[in-house]
Order: sequence, then C-alpha cells, then structure tokens
Amino acid sequence: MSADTSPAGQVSEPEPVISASGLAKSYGDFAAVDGIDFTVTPGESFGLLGPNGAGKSTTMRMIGATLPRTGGQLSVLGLDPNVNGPQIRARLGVIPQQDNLDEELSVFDNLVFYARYFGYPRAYAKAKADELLDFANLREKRSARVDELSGGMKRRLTIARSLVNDPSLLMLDEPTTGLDPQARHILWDRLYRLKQQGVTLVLTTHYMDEAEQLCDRLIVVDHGRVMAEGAPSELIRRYSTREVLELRFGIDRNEEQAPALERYCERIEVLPDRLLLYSGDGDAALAAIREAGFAPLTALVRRSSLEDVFLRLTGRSLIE
Amino acid sequence: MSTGIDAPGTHAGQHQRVRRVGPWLVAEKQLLFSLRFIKTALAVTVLTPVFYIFSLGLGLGTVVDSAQPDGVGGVPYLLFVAPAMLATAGMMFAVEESTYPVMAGFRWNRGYWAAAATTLTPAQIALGAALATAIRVAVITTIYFLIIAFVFDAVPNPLTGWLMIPLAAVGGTALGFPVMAFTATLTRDSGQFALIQRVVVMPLMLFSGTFFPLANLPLSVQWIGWLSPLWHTTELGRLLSYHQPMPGVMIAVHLACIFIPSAVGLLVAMRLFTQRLTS
Repeated sequence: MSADTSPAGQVSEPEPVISASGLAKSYGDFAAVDGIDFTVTPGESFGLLGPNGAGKSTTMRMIGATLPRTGGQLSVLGLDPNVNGPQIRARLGVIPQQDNLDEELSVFDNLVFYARYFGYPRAYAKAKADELLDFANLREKRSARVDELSGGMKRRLTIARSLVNDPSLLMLDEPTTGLDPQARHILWDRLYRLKQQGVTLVLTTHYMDEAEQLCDRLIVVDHGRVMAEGAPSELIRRYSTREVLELRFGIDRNEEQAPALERYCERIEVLPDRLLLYSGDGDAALAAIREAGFAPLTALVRRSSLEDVFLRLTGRSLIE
Repeated sequence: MSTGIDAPGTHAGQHQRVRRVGPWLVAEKQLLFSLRFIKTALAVTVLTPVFYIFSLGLGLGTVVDSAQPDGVGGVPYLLFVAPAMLATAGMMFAVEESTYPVMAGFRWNRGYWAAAATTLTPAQIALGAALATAIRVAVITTIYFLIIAFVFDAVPNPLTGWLMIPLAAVGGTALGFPVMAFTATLTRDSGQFALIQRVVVMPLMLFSGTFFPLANLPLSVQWIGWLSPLWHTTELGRLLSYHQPMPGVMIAVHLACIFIPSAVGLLVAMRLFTQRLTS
C-alpha cells in the first residue's frame, strides 16, 4: 500500500471496488472456491482466468451478491454482499454466462423492464433503453423479438441491459464464449468504450487472448485457488520465456523426441499432439535443432501467451 | 455508463424505492406480458363458463330440478352450481399460473435469475409472481361473476354476491400458492404438472361439493372436501350468492381454511425462491 505521504496530501490509494481475503464457498465437503485473495481498484479491468470448474463463476456470483460466501471476507463497493445485497446490486451490472433475456419480449421491452427492476420511472426507463440501443448498435432491432436475434446481438443486448442502472462495476462471466470472431471483436470494442468511461470491469474467461486484450491485471484460478496474479505481460515474463517453438513429430513420436531436445530450450512441455519448447529465441533454437538432424513435421515459432503461463502453473491446458 | 440523460436519482434512492415497491415491479412485468395474449385469454375465460353453465346449470339442471322439486340445498340447480363453477375456475387458473410460468422463470427463460441480479430480493420476486397470479385470477373471477350474474341470472343477491370475486381469487391461491412453492423445487417438468392436474385438481373438483352437496358423499371420501380449499370457497360463495344458511363459526372455519393455506403457501414459496436463487 502506498501511504498518503505526499506533502500536498492528494495522492492516496483509492478505496478498492472489491477486496476479498480468504474468500471461500463450499457445498458440503466440496470447496468450489477455496480461500482466494484479491483487490480490484476503481477503473481497473480485472480478470479471472481459469479452466471450466475452477470456481470463477462462483466467485463472480459472490461478488454480485447473489450467492452468500461460506468463508473469508468480501467487500464490494465498500459493502458486505452477505448483508447489503440489494444496495450492492443496485450499483452493479451483471452479464451472466448464460443469457437470460426474455426471448418473447422485444429488444426494447427487455431493456425497459429491466430498468424498472432497478426502480426507475417508466419515462426514464424508456429514454435509457433507447440510448442503450444506440450503444449496443441494435437500433434497427428495437421492436424485434429477442429470439430473432443472432448470438452476438443477444450478447450485446445483455451487455446493454446490464448498463440500465449506470453501474460503476460491471461483472462479465465469459462474455464472448460461443461467439464467432467478428462478434467477439465488436463486443470487445464496446467493453473498451466502457473502460474508457471509467467503468470497473471484472471478467472471467478461459480464452487467453481475451484476457490479454481486456485485462489490466488478472488472477489465474484453478481448483478454487489463486495460482498467480499480475498483469498479462508480467505473468508471461515471470512464468514463461519470450518465445515458444511448437514442434510436431507425429502423434506417437512427440514424447520420445522430448529428452533429446531439452538442451535446445529452457523448458519443454509434452502435449499429446505437439511439443512446446520454451526459449528466448525460437528461430535460433529451431535452426540448431534442424542442424542437429531432427526433422519435425511442422515447426512454428510464436510469442508466449497466457496459455503457456497456465500450462506452466497447472500442467494443464485451459481448454481441454 | 455516463450518458446524455440524467438518472432521476441516486443509486441509494432507487434502492429505497425498490425496497418499497419491488413486488409490484415484478408483477407489472408479468401482467403487461399477459396482455399480449389478452384476446385468446379472454375468449377462453368467457367461453368456458358459458359452456359449463349451459351444460351443467341448464342441461343437467333440468333433470335435477324435475327430480327434486325443492331444489338442491333449497335452490334451483343452476343457482347451486354457479358459485361452485366460479370457485373452480379460480382454482384451475391459479394452479395453471403457478406451474408453467414459474418453471419458465427458473428454468426456461431464467427470468427470475435475471431479476435476482437486480436490486430485487428473491422474496420480492416470489411475492411479485404471487401478486401477478392473484390479480390475473381476480380478473378471471370478475368476468366469470359478470357472466353468471348478468347473462344467466344465477346470483340472486348481487349485493353480497359480488364478494365472490375476491373470495374465489383468494380461494384459488389457497391451492395455487402451495403449488407455486412446489414448482420452485422442481428442476424439470417430468410429468409433475400433469399429475397435479389429474390427482389434485380433478379430484378436488369432483369431491368438493361442486356438483352436489358434500354430505351426499360417503364419509370415506367426504374428508377430501373438508381439506379442499375449493369446498370452503364454494360454501362461502353459496352464502354470498343465495344466502345459504350457515352458522357464524362455520364462516370463520371456511375463511381460515382458505386464508391459511394461501398464506402458508406464499411464505414457503418466498423461502424456496430465496433458497434456489441464492444457491
């Protein structure tokens, strides 16, 4: 913590939007979230990265004050979700993993009724709905029923809906899972805009590119625990090399080649379909390997990503 | 999102408002949503009583009245059966509204989950769903009443008879709210709703003194009527419609047998909604 020590006294650590310590949720003997610590500061984009079943959604619901924690401390917007649920939810925007729009209502009515749930007068709810239609680029679909929309449009509508109460904190649970690349990019663009306006974003994802695109800082979660924390680039620096050389020798031959290749890199990971050689200079490693007489079927040099960080930390891939 | 239009108040102010009127906000949406089906709903609601009264009150009534010149319970069969038809309509509609729409909220469109992420509490969501059900049942019983009273002239004392409208609405919820609580525990409909129709609603309709006085049944099945909110509603309806003689203590018993299951059903539903939406 940087203390308030400047002579002018104007620089002090801002009150965190979320602070969790030892946060836990168990169902009987099963610990879905097993004591995690993190803080999120105002305006930050914070990510929870991990495979399915890691405890991300459970954590999100605890922050969103719809699931009581069973252990540890949690403060959201300065309040305790187990006690002040409605006050917290009044200021949150939530994008659930599974769309829960009203399929039989029009796009416009979905927004209006949701605004009403936050207690807004009808006239304001309608004006707000129209404004959000522009933001979500759904103006022409205003009177269309939700079940006529594409997956990407539904997701945009869900995001628009989460903004009806001008939330200062937006919670996104796997915002782009199941969308095609173009729809994902449109969605990312909308999220950037919100970020620029100072909205604090908390998102879960099992897509490393999404985490790299959107998150200022993230925690890697597995089995309900925090495996690592930091900015994406920092985590890559800390847990991986600059580059990765991917080699394929054929399904049965990858593993037997691995021991002989260890001397050409800092670390080697054996995957069922390929070898990952971690090296500061992938091209140089590849040249040396070819020189030594190895003949991989395919070879690819790429930058390290969060996927590599995850593999290093857990020994498993994010998407299995 | 910072926007061109100003929010009409602070988040704290909105929260206070939702604390006061939350259930109405939930009910409002459900009611406006049902307006979309108003034409078919009205057709069904108006035609059903007309068919029933023609067939039972007038058709069967002619046979009954010629066999029993003193009437049933002292009145012509049409007058006897009309309050029961009104109460039955309330019950059937209340049960229907407490099954599929509630299942949709939890499971199909997941609307309750969406609402639970807002300022609303799960108990308010349950209360709002119940409120919407009660209001819709009251609309049905109103239409039914107008038809039996003014089309068939089957309510000799309309001055007290109109009270059958709220009575049958509450009577309907006496079975509807417990069914709503039950639905809140279901993760899927694997025939339970059809079962409720066949082993609960149908027997209640047949053994609640609907088509003949309950005392005509052997004691071995009479108890069904005593437990049935439908019988209690019907008996009070007969009191209101043609002033069927009834000791004061029975009025109290009938009212208790309607209000208690309705209130308990509602409280249990609120609890189960809370459990389900926070787990």
